[in-house]
Amino acid sequence: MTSTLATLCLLLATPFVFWPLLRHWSVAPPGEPETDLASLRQAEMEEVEVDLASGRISSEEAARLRHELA
Amino acid sequence: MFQAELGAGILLAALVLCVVSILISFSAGHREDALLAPIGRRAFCAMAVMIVAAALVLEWALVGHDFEIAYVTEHTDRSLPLALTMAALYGGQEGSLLYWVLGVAVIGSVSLAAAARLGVKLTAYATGFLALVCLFYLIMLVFVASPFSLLATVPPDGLGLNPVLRDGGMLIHPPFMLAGFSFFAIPFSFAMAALLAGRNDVAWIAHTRRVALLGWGLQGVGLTLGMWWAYHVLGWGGYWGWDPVENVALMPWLVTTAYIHSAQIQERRGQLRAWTIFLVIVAFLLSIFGTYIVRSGIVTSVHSFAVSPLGPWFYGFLIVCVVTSAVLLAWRARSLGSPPLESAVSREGAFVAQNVIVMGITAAIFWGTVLPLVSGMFGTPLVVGPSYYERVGAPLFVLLLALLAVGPLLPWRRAGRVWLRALRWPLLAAALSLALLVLFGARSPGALVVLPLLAAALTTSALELARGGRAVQRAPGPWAGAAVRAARRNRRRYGASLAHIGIVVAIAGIAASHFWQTQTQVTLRPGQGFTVAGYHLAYQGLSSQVVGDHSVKTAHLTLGDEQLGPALASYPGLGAQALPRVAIRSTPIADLYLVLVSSRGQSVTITAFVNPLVTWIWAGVGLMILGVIFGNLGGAGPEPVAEPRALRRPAVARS
Repeated sequence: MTSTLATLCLLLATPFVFWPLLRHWSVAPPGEPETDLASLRQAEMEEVEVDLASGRISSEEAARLRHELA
Repeated sequence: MFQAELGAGILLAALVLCVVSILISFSAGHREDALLAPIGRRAFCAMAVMIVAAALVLEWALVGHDFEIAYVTEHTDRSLPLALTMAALYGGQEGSLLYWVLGVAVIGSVSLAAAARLGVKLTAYATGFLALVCLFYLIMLVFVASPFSLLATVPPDGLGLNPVLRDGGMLIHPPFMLAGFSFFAIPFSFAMAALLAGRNDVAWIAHTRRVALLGWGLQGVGLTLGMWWAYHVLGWGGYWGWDPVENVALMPWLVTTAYIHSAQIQERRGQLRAWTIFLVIVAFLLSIFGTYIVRSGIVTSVHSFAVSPLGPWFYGFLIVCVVTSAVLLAWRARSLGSPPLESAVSREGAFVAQNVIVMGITAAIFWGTVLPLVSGMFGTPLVVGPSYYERVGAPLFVLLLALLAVGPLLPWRRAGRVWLRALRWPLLAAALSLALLVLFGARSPGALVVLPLLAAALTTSALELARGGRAVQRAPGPWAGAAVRAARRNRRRYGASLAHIGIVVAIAGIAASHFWQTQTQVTLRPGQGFTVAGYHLAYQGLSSQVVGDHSVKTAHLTLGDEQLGPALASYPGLGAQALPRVAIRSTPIADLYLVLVSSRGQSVTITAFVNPLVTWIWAGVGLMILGVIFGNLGGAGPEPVAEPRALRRPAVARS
């Protein structure tokens, strides 16, 4: 009975312990990190353009940010 | 049956999670794997939850009088009050092991959760080392000394608790001591992780300093409660007997005191890196050594109720810890080099001197404790008594007091002539108190040295606080607000001053009760009286009473209008064990301490002590703990390590 109860406790603890692994698999499947980075870069570039168009940042600032993100 | 199976099952699950945490954490540290590291940490936290659950199951069994569990039968009975029944969790061998690992696991989990900024490698290794420490205890609890072992036949009642432990002190002294011991594992694990990871920065020191201080504070309180318990329960008129078990509890506390000071040098000046790590390691090793001494029964002690066959296991664990830490320290010794002190006459120099003196005291106590073992190997075991500790320790304590008087006035880096001018006030205080002592007829060389030094140290600490007060007066705005702001800005400085004042007050109590204790023993018949140190006591008569499983004889004495009743309790069921119940009349000036030694008919033999300033010891320790708490609340956290470059834009001001 001791072993059964121990196994039950371990089964209860497993999702908590391995949660980072489960979350990693669901959010970023292996083999796709480059695509993920590219899409993030694209989103940030678009945000820079929106900020420039709305006058929140200057053209020099936008150029510097584009260079940094490239 | 179910509670025992459940508790054992939970402990087995904790053991498995501990092994998982070790394997994953060391692997994550080695590969600097940011994905695996939190899994190792989570396994550690899950193990902590399992250990808490196991402790709760044991409490459930204790409170429910589940006498089929051997631990419950051996440490409780049905007549035991609920509080003491619950305290039996840490009152016995197996339960105290469970409580020990509970402390490491819970505080370790909190510390690890807050350690993410220290970087993947260091945190993962720290998790691994913490889990390794827990592994030893869990192996003990699962395979060697299970608190859930079952008896073949279930007795109708338990054996009860040792009468010496049936006291309020039992409720608070052991948990503080054990918690203090267990907390030393956290700085140790981080120090080992820093060595393995090759990190010689101060981030881990800043992170673990508070845990070390918490452990130091808990053990300081535990030691004081132990002194208080010995004082009011054992009936020998004193509070510290240099018993081996007292010594092994004092040693890690002393080493941590040295660490608290040396860590400041490392944090501020980047010096004493290897020495600081050495102190952290030694404090932990001494806590394991202490547990080994208590568990093995290898030396004779008043704590012999804790003896068990676990000694060799702890000895083995101690050897493993010594070898591992020595190898790691030797491996990284070259990278731990640090710049030398600019001048010996500086704050750093005072801290180094303090460290050397404290380690000298620790070495003297260690030698006195292990001498019976060492000498026993070559013939008749030699045992040293209080006179050895007083002879060897007194000069070192005097040096420490002198340092306490001058050290806080020293500046960092190098002291100039201003420092010499600042010394005039403590010197004046010392000279004045010496003159007063001589004037009032004090002739004891010890008192003539210690008390003027105490006056000087008190003046120094008061000067520090007064300087802060002057700054507050000069500050604009309301006085109270300025005081709070100044205190917040200089927490460590004022906390240290308060702690130093506490030390001075406690040492004044120790010195006064040592130098000026008065003792007398008298045999009296009803109507007779006696005088001790100006207190006139009259004996009225003796009464007897049966209370539960024991009988109590009480001698009724009067001091003016006050009634005092020293008593003697006898336990026929426990081999007629007799325990004194001391009567103490406490005032800030002195304690009148009465012990009923024996009785024949209505005739009684009483030992009376007058112990000056004993209450100052308890008050001084309270001040010291308050100072440490105040000095370490809030403040800046550890320096974060540089994070890997991420894909992110610089912050842009939004309108």
